[in-house]
Amino acid sequence: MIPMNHQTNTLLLSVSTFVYVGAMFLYLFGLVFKKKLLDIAGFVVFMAAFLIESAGLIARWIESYRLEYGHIPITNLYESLIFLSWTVALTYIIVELKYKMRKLGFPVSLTAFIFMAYASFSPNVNSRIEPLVPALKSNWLTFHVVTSFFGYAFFALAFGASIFYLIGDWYTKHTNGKVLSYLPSTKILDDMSYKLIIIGEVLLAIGIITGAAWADYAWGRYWSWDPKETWSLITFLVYVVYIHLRYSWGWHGRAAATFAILGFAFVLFTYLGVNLVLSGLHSYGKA
Amino acid sequence: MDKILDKVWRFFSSVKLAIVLILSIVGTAIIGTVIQQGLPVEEYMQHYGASTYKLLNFFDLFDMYHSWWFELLLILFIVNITVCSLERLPAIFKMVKNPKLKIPADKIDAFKEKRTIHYSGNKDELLSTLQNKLKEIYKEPVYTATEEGDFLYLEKGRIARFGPYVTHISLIIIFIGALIGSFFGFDAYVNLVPGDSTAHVRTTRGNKDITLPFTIQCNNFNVEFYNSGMPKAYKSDLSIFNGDHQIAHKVIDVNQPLTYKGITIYQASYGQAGASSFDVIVTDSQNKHDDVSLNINQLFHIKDDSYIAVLDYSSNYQGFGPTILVGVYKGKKLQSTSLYLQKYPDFHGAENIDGYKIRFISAKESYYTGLQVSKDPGFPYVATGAIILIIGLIMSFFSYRRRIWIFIPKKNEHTFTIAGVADRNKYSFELEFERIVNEIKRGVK
Repeated sequence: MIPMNHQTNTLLLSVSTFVYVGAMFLYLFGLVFKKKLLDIAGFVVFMAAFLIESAGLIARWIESYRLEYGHIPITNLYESLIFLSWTVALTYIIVELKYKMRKLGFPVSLTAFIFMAYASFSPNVNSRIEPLVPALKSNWLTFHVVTSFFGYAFFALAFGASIFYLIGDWYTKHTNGKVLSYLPSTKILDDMSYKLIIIGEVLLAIGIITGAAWADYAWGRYWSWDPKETWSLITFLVYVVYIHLRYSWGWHGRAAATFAILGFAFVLFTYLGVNLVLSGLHSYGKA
Repeated sequence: MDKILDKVWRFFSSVKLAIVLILSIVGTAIIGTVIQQGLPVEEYMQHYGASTYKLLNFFDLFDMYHSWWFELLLILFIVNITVCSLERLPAIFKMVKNPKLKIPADKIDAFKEKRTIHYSGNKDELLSTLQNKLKEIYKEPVYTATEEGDFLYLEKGRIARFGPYVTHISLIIIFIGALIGSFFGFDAYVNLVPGDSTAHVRTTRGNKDITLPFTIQCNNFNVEFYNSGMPKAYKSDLSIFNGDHQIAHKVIDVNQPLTYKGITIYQASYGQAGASSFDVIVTDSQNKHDDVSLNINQLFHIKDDSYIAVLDYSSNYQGFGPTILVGVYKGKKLQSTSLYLQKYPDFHGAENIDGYKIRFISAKESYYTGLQVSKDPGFPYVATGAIILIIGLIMSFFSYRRRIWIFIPKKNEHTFTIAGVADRNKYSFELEFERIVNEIKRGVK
């Protein structure tokens, strides 16, 4: 057993960062050399990284109780970056088990690695476990953050699927109808990207609503046009447009994929941009 | 006149308008996150300069979410959604009530998903085999006989047709709730020092005075800190009075408000109202200690005609922590002053007053509690709307209507056709259709 001390969690999380790198290279070689075995190895290593990361998060949670702060590890920039990489990884594992889409493993492990590395190695990100200000001490915290972050994760995967769509589509167009053998068919990618987006949209809606309910409970105002609130609404509306273009005007394929890729810029800005660039209630970025 | 109304109606029932409005709301909402909202005029003047300030202020960009043009966008959007729903709902009710149980034989060719299957047995046998098989693997089909032949009709996911309208109606309910809140509710604040009571609060926007139908009394206020100095918890012990009658009492916390008669009092903030008393140790030349607690400006007799008093206090004097300013009096006349730091007792330790030493132990700081006082009769509507919104999204997204027809023509005894269509999720339907066709092929002789 690993001895439990105050560094166990950050150690486990750093280790998982490197294991994600390993998975990323296996997936990359799988793409280059088109060997199925490499993809499977990539997935196994990816699962290992995910489990180590989960252990790290749990160790951190336990540690916060030992420090008598006792809160779920999703409350500052460091924890949020790690939790986001964890949700992206878990969402990918679910998608992988459903669609058998190992090729998505490369961009996902790259994304997980980038978030983990930013959290672990950036001098601007503080990895200490900190106590909570009174406003954050609420059961709404868990529900609000978990739903919002899984929403982000589904949008991130839709973004990846859409990029693959454009690659597959471009290849077919420039080779007179040949298909990229190592990618799923563009039809599946198009359908997948749409399905990931609608799940992301429902989760984002629940995230916004739980945030509003919490704000009402803590401050008596369910909506105050705080930048984070406004940007999450903006992101929601951007995907509302995507859904209506798809349902009412039959947008799909290249147009829908391009829209999904651009839409993800709004997700990223809502998650990080607002905290790093703008000011407001969700100010962990000022650390 | 009717023509104009018709045109207006058609204008508002278009999806194109909805997309233009949503994109306009998105585009303008961004402005309000870049320009900080609701700051004092002087700050904007300093930041933007007078002429830019005038221009931005002309377009209400410093309070844009409450500006007439942003509210107009929201209203147009709600009208758009309402008209869209009214326009399309009756047709959908009709469609659901009277499903197309049969389709003209020549229309079947137009379906993307269709398959013609051969059979060798007789027609009645086929019909009952199909009915049993479909009931087992999919759904019980509806049977219709026509001149041309027999039809079996299957439909799933009917509820998905209503999803978008449930979602749209939920937005209308949320909007109505928000309107009720803004017309009949208020958002105000008041700061109270323990012992104080008031029935007057000031609105957050506009700073207008509101008289509550009761009096709030702050009995006590407590703030706890972590070692880092970050606040851990702050709580106000509040009583609600109607005249001399206490009608409610609660200790409120940041996430634990008090509601009385539809008005909710939230623990919003706190601030320093100064220090109320100071614990000081006075040591005389014979090393005799005297622990005393002094209020501000309270004279304390040392000896003969010498007195001391705490004149001022800072919770963090130039980064050195809690500090008091002590004045020395001779015959009630101020002679000198000196600073005493709680964290650095030796800083002034050498200095003594007629052989007396003073050590500052601690200050009992007094705080005021910042209370948010709100009334929002629209909230139940907004909350209901939010729940309906989620239900509507789930109905629209995770279910889709698909229909399958099986046509057994009278003319040709040995083939029948199966055709299907889905409103959405064409790809998932393709797979489902394939599965049904294969099952039928296996079951039919």
